Amino acid sequence: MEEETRPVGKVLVIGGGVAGVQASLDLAYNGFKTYLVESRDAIGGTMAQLDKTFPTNDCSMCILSPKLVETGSNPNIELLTRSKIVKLEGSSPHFKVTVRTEPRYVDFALCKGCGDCSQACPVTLPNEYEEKLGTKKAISRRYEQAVPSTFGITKWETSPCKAACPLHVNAHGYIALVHKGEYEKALALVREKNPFPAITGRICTRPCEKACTRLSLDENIAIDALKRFLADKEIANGTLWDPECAKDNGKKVAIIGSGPAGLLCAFDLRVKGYEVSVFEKKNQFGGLLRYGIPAYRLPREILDREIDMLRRMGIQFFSSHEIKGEDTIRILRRQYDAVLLATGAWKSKKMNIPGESLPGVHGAIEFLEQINEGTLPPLHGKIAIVGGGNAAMDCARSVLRLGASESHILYRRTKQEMPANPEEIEEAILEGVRFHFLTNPIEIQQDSFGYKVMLQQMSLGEPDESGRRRPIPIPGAMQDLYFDTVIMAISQETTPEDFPLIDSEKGLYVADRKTMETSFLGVFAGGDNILGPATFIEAMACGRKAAISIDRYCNHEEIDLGREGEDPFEIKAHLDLSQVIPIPQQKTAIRIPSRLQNDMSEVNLGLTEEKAKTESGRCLNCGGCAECMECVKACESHAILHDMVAKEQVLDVGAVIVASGFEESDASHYAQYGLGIFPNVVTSTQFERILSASGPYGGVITRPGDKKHPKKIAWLQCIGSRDTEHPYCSSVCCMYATKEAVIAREHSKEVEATIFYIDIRAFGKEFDQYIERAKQEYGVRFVKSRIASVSEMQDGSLQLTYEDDAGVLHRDVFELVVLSVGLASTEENCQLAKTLHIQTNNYGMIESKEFHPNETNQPGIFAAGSISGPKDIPESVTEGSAAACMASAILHEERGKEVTIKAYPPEINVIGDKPRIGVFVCYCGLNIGGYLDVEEVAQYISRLPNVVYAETNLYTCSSDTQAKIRDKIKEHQLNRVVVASCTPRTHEPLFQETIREAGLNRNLFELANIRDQDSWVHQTKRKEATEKAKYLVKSAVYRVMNRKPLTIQLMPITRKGLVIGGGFAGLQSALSLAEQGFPTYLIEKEKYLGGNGLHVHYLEENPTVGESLQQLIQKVLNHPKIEVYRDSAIQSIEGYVGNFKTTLQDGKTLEHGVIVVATGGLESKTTAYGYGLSHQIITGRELEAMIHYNKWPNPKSVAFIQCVESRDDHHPYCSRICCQEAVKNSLLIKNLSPTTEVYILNRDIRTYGYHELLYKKAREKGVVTVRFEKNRKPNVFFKGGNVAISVYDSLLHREIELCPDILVLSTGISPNPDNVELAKKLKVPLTQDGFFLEAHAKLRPVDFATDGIFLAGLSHSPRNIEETITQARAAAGKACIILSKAGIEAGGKIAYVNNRNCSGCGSCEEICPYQAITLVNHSKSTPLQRVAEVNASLCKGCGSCASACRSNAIDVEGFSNDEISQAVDALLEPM
Amino acid sequence: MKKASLFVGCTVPVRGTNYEQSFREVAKRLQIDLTDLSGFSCCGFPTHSVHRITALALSARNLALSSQSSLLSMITLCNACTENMTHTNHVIQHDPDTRNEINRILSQIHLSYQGEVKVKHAMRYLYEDIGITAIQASVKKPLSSLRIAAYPGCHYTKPSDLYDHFDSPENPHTLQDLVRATGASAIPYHSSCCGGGTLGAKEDTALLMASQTLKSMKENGADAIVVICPFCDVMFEQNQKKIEKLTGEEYSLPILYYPQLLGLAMNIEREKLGLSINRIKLDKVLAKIQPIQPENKE
Repeated sequence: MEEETRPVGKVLVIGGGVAGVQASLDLAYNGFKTYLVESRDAIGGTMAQLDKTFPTNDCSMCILSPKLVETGSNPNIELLTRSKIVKLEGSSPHFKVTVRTEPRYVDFALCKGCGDCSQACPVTLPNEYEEKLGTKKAISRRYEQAVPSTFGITKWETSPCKAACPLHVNAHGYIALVHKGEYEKALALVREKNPFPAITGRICTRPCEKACTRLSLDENIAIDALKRFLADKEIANGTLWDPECAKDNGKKVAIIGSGPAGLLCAFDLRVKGYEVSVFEKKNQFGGLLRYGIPAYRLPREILDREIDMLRRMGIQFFSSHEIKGEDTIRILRRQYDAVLLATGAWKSKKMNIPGESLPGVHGAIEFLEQINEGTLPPLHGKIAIVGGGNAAMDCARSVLRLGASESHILYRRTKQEMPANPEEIEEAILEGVRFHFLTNPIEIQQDSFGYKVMLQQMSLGEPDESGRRRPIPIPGAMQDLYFDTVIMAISQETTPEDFPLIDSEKGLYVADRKTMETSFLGVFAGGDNILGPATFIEAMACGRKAAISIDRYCNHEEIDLGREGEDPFEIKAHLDLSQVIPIPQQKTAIRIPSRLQNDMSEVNLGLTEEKAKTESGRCLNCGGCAECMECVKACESHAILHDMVAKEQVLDVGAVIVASGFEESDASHYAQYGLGIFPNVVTSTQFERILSASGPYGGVITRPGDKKHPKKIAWLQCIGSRDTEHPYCSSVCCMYATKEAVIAREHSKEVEATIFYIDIRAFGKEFDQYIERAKQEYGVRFVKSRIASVSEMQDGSLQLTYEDDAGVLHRDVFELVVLSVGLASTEENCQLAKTLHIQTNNYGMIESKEFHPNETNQPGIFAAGSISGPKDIPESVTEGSAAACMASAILHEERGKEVTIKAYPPEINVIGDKPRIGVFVCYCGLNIGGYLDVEEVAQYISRLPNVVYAETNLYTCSSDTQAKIRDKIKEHQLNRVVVASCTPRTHEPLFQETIREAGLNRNLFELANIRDQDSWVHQTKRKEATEKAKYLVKSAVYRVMNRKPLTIQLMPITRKGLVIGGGFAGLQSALSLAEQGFPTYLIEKEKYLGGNGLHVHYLEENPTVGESLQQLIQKVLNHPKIEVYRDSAIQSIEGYVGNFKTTLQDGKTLEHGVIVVATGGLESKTTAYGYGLSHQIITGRELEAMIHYNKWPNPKSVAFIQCVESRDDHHPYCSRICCQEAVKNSLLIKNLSPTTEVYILNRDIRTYGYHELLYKKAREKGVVTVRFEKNRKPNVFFKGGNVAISVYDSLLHREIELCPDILVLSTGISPNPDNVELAKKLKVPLTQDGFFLEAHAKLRPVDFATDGIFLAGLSHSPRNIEETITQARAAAGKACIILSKAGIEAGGKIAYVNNRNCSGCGSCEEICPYQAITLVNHSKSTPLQRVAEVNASLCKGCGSCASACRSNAIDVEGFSNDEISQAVDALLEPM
Repeated sequence: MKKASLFVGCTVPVRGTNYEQSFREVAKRLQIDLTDLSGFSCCGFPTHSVHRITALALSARNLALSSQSSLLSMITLCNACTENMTHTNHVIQHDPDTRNEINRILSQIHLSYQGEVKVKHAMRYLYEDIGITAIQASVKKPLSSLRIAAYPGCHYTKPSDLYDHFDSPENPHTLQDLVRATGASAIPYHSSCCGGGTLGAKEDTALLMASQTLKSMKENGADAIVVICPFCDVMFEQNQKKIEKLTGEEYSLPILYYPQLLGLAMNIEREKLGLSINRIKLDKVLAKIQPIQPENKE
């Protein structure tokens, strides 16, 4: 066969919810390699978020978690998390699927799941698992028990603040660290890119803040002020920072100019080990930082402090050294390996207007230089400053400090367009600077009054290329103002007339903008002198680029290689800000001197610690992870890799199962219910998290708005269901809402719970009983009313308006409102469907053809769970098994070909040897090591008897430690191993595997739990925790000391199936078994196959049921592997899983390994409502026959009565399908005779799922529903010989009378009476109602607790044909898992009987939940003495028998009484 | 170029000239050729509760005029006009008796009408006939800094049967989508009836109803409200001061008609968008649209 079309024994399962997990497990056990693809970090799906499950109130996580662990540890299931399908090629049975896995940034193999990284992470993000009620760290695990337990980083893209910074200082990172209170770490993070935080924090122009995402919402984060806060805090502490420098590399660099560019370049090179000399023409250092910026903005001690830091590093500073002219540079170049020219831009630009060279007109830079040098003569009078930048503000504010009486800003645009920092402008205003906007000087004249500035008035026109509106002169509008001095603060330029490297036209050095190289070899240029007037931070960035180039130049490396990456990152907006509420920015305190003259002390006082914390909390964390690398530092096993990238792989698989589930409809779209607007309106999943003990409020019912504990809670049903957009019913909401109400009442008796519903749809097994219990025992109030809208009260409580049962209007206030949100498809699912070329319905869910549940339009691709419509957990599990069964049927010939079977060395015989125990004590990173003395524990243990070796490890579970354990077993001939570490729940199988690989029996291992039960709970008591650890390990040593190897034997299997019942369920089960290659017997007691299916004619409105049934029967009859026994009854069933023997009434004996029970049910018989008294009164089935066989009399009116002798005290269960049947039949009637009036008298119309669409159609066609109450049933009587009904309509609140021509009684489904006998033969239980009882209502819906026996169809509970087919396939699939095993495993940790002690009382037999114990004759000689015998293949080792045994005759291997006594002794005896 | 007649109704030319003006500007740039037909009368909405046939005949007359000029597409600006005209179309298409009755009336002025003109609210027209993509393409200056509370009003979507279910009556999204197309974000808020329908009967009740919506919009950080019906505008803008007085709460929420918002995003001169007619100051909103300033030096 062609390679490309050859069937492949591998299956791809998409979606790690409970359906996908079940499908994967079934497939793997059935002998197929399985890939489980999950888009999130961990499997578990929605079920992992739930608190409890209905109707058993099991803890959801407790029952799910073992299944997840089983999935995670199965060698034939490969988990691909954070993964999506991007392409599907090929066709059944050979697909090629491309899977893309997004980076997790954490190495699976190295991560131990200890959580140290999460502790260190400063970034807090909304937690999707907690439905955003709680938060998570940027590095986190989806939930505590997550499988896989590997952490993952939530990383979107580079945060805009970091991207926008020319130095790419990680602003996001240090903001997050400030919020966490980690000031030193935050400061260190700043300094990774910028060694001058104190200066930068005062004077930077802050491109980061202009890029801040919050700016489009309210105000940017005060990033610079936070940086300054950090620097100031260090200054206040009196600590000095001395960066580490590399060893001197012997290379020398000269830097000319000590401005920002020069200083940063000097720093970077010195750190690398260069000898750096800085030459400055002025007598002090800092360039324009000192000579351009006034001291009230940048105090000189701050500047000196950071320059001193450079001095301490060993950088040499030479003041008053003017390097001028090409020759000087040449000389310098000979003495140094490289030279940097960073001489800045020291000349003010001219406006080129008349009068600019008058003596009282100055350039801003020269003016500021004089001020800061102290060489400016005293000022007086009115001074004008032309310009709107920071230099203009500096001048304007400085002159007021130097004696000027007035300071005026002349600016040609308006305040909004001013380029100066906004707070500079505000402070200038506060200090009394006056502003003249929209004025532009065109000439300056000197006369006797002073300098006359002639101003052209402007207006604003279209925006120019800078985005600011262009000033346009207003013709003729002029104004003259007089000043004593005029300062031109337009811009600056360079003055390097003497340097040969200049581009004379632009006044700039000729240098490469990327590398700062000039045409002069070894000479680099950087800063304002090449950029033109730039900002402080841009100049520093130039300095850095130059430093990189100089380093490369000195090391003879290619200078321009890969330099593009230094330029800004692309910034993408991805946050949805519509949900973010504005919070104002924290302002820095300022001190405006009351007398400005000569007061040069700092104006801006920075942020207080409290304000800094609040301000940093405003950060939206737009990049997700801040890349502060704290996690990398915290991770002891070096598992974190921030540069991980996405990868794609192509998988060859034979079949695909799609089980990617659902999401809640987005209830925030329904603004009338206030979700996302009123904080105390939550979704049902949010409420599950509120209830959960592991949830955001620790299981205490708390409302999110104000953290109060609500006493009055309302549930609103059908939100996002049964409406125009989602016209289907979501099936599960009625039950989960009731469950939530019950659990809420269990949490606190004070809680009042009210559920507002349209119909209560409790259609599943034992569901109605649950609703009744909620009403009776828990006092949950049910109000039939659809709430139109929710309004919020002053105190955050919510007001609802509704009509009660009596029709009275109420306004009621609830403290918390829970929206029972329906299930909907996800955008991801729709995309997936497109990728897989499969069809979806109008609601984006996968569509299956009638009678072909779980199939898609693509052969070989199957659907399971809520992806094809709303399902509850057992249905999803059943569908997972059914889909697995269908995939196995296609691929059954490939079974076992792709799975790994591991080979082990032969076991070492240790019996009779003296115990030689090896103990490995684990630090678990800091999880154990941080809280107790691991070394001391190991030392103590090494001295215990029989312990021949003890050691400690950082992570005992790491793969290198496994190799070490194997080596030590060999080296010290260990025959028992104890690991003292985390928990056996997750790690016991790993260590057992390790010792088995070294030749020891798995049972010779014991784990001492010193983390979960010790270090984690006694974190503050190191000494006591250490003592406890010693005891725990000692106890484990004692316990394992006399352990014996346990062997598991494989018993042969009869690889045949037996199906009891020939209806839809039985036929399908038999066919599925046979399709998987197993010979199957089908037993039917009637003469005909077909069961109840023979009486059903229509599926919805299509008369195709009969045809489909006949096709199925023919397939079964013609299948070579199926033997059908009609008209046969079972006499007896003997044996156990793998080896059953069934004897038929005719004496024929059949041998088989598994049994599927599919005995069906019956339409209930009734005598209620006058049935049998008139030909006008018929059952639903009779009606259908009437229609089908063309006997429809076209009556004037028809009435249905639902729930006949159902849902009452005698028959408490709901028959699930009667409502859909009645709706279906009413539509059939309307099709035949549209004018016939149809009434459905009901208690609730339970058309769940897509059946709701049919109900809608029926209503549209005029079918009338009349609701009656349980205790006010309709009265049927005869009036003039005709049937009449009187009924109290509970919606109209009055009695009505109907006279239908035909009255149809929906009598429901009864269990098959034969069940009682059969249950005895099979030794399996029945429910109170007489249906068979499955092993577990949620997770084992088609299994019995007894191995090897399965159930499907009406024998399980009422259900429709399609549900029956799915269930039958699931049961068959499960049965095949047993039939495809190598053998039945027997032995291991199971019970055994000491016959000498056994008194044959039978207590153990009674208590055994798995029917594994029977009483047998002790021996032939003493026939009266009976003893217990354990069937090794059925025993699960639960120990119930051992605890029940009165004579200590029964014990469990691996948990023997002796062992436990020894362990307890070890704990009790002193150390 | 798409052709349609523009039916402005009664309230818009009196109380919402900024709406009309801005829509005409926007339409020009979106290649919609609007025709004003002489002789358009009242849409009939106010008489509906008094005399149904009169109401139907009035709007049928307008529709007939459009049809007569071969304009089979009519754009309306007011939600009430939209509802009544669409309703008339529905009756004429589905109820032969009423159709005959109306045509009998119309025949007196030598007109007849068979339901052939498709009436669409201007926003529905933008959404369906122009399309979000084309609108996005027309945006020159995305208003990404604006948080908008989009308020579609009642008869824009209801009764949904009349409107071919083009938007959900319970959960309308088309106006939000249109707002998002300008780059602005459409914030969630708790919405109820604008109160316009009750204004004539009980003013305080109407104002209190509007106040609830205003309060929620404010709390959720709206910069402005976008409306598309002159009645909503009456409630939220023209009565906002009154509401503030009544409730003692300050909202100062500016109101924009959608075409004004779109016009701003298209970078149309502000004078052409009638912004000066808006009663509540738009300063803050307009300031937020200012582009981020580039810097010069420190």
